Amino acid sequence: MKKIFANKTLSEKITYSVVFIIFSLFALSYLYMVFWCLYSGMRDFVSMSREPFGFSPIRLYNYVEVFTIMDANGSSFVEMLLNSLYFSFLGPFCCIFITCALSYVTSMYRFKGSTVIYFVIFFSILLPLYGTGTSQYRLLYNLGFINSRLMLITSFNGHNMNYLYFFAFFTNMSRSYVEAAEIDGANEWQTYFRIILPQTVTMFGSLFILLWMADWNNYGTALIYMPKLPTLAVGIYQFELQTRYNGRLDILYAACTISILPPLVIFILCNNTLMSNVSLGGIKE
Amino acid sequence: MEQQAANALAQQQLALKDKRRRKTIRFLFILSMTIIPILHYAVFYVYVNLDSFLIAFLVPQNGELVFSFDNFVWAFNNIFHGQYSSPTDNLGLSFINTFKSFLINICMFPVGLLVSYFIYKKIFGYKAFRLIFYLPGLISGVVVSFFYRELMGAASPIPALLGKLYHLDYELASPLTDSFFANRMVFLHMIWLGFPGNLLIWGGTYARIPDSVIESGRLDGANWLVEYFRIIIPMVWPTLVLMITTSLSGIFSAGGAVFLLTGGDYGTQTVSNWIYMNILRANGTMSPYLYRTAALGLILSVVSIIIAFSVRKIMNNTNKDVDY
Repeated sequence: MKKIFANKTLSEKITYSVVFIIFSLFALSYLYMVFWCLYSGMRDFVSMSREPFGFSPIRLYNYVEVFTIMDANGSSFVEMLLNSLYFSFLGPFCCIFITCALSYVTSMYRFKGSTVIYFVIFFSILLPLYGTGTSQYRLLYNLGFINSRLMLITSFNGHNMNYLYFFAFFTNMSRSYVEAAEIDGANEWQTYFRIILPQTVTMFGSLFILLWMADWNNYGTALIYMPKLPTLAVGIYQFELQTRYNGRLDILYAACTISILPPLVIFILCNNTLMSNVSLGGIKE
Repeated sequence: MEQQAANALAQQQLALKDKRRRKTIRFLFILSMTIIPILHYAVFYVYVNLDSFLIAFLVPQNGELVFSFDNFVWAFNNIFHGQYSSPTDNLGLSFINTFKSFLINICMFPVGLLVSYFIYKKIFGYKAFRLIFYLPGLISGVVVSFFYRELMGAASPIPALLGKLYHLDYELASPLTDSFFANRMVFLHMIWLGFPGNLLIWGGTYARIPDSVIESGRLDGANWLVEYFRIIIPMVWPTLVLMITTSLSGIFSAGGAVFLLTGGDYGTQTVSNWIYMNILRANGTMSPYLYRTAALGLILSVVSIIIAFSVRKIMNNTNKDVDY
């Protein structure tokens, strides 16, 4: 106890205690949500429907049945899983790769348009434009991207918040690496791919994981543009609409648990790296 | 002599050629790194926004698209005199709910800053809190909404508790399907999930503050409030300005998980959900509502651009001279 309150005044001791209690309450509620989902996926559907917050014997077979029973818009659970993997891995990877390259060039090279690109992206992020969904849908429909794996192309963008993270990173990076590589006779691509890119690996990885988590859980845009090519998040949503009538909530929650696990495991493993590598470099100096 | 001059000329030409080659390579490199994002921006941002601007002025009439201001007239009419009971025309109510959600977001913003601060100050159990508080961000909104709906459902004690608390003369099945409670429950959901704030950004930003600055403040007798408001906030001001500006300019996108919790029913509709559901319902067809959505979007964009620029200007002037 002494260690916890070391170097703290009485008012700070009281403040920290109150904050700790509030934090604990919220933390418990989040943990209970995860436990409930995990446990509900292991119960039998009759008792689950009668008493969603009750207890019943554990039934691990639900996790096998998910693969055979679950179906959404004609897609099986395995297909949903594959769709999720395809869009959530390739999309964020391409996006981060392109964003990193764009921010490197605009921050390290002075050329006509580098400042313009920075400001255009900055203001695109700053200014939310509403109601473009209609036009976006029309465009994607005309391009034949709706319910197609070509939707991946929409991820090839560099005008996102990650641009600012990379820009701050490259601005703080010493130019001596580039100059040394030039002296050694490396061309621009060699310098970028062999010297610069390996240095961004932690930041690249952190931003990729964050974007991957967001895409893995994304249902909003996927529901509009890919209802017949459902990812896990969309499939679970569509399956829930069906289970309202057939009552297989056990399968629904088993699927929910499977969808929670990958981001959860990755976050537990990488949380220190993620927490220490994302900042906008906005400290005044 | 002539030989020397020829050699010098050759060398000069070689150097010029090398310079040109380097310039070409540099140009090709810049082009290769920027071409894809620029093309993407041109197609998926510039074209989409221009097209959306044009759509806002089009109205389908007898199978043809006619230039008209009708969509704007419709939007303003429905914002100020919308039918509150209609699921499609309740724009007035949508705006009220959006502003309420926005107020909640504004209130939760400093809460999120303080949560990150106490974790940064290593409150007891901070490692566990940091991990657990990120859970709402790790789990799909779909899954969280299932839990929340069950929690508010007939099988949980909450409806009965609310019934007693509000002395209801009818049996409450779920507060999410009751017009009196639904909005409150959506807001509660927002507060519950929004409590940790943006841990990642603020955690990373606070971590960059030099320890020596905090220590010298401590030595001068600064308590946590002084440390927070007089040392930390001024130091993270640029990030704060950016975050506040993006939050304020996103005023019309404020709203909880309305789509998943209530589908916009029971008086919970918000502007962003109204726009989203219109596009979702259209299902590939160009219904008149989609043209109206574009008009409404244009009105909202103009208002948010004004807000974003004003806020940024005010914020940048407020704390201009605080340096260390």
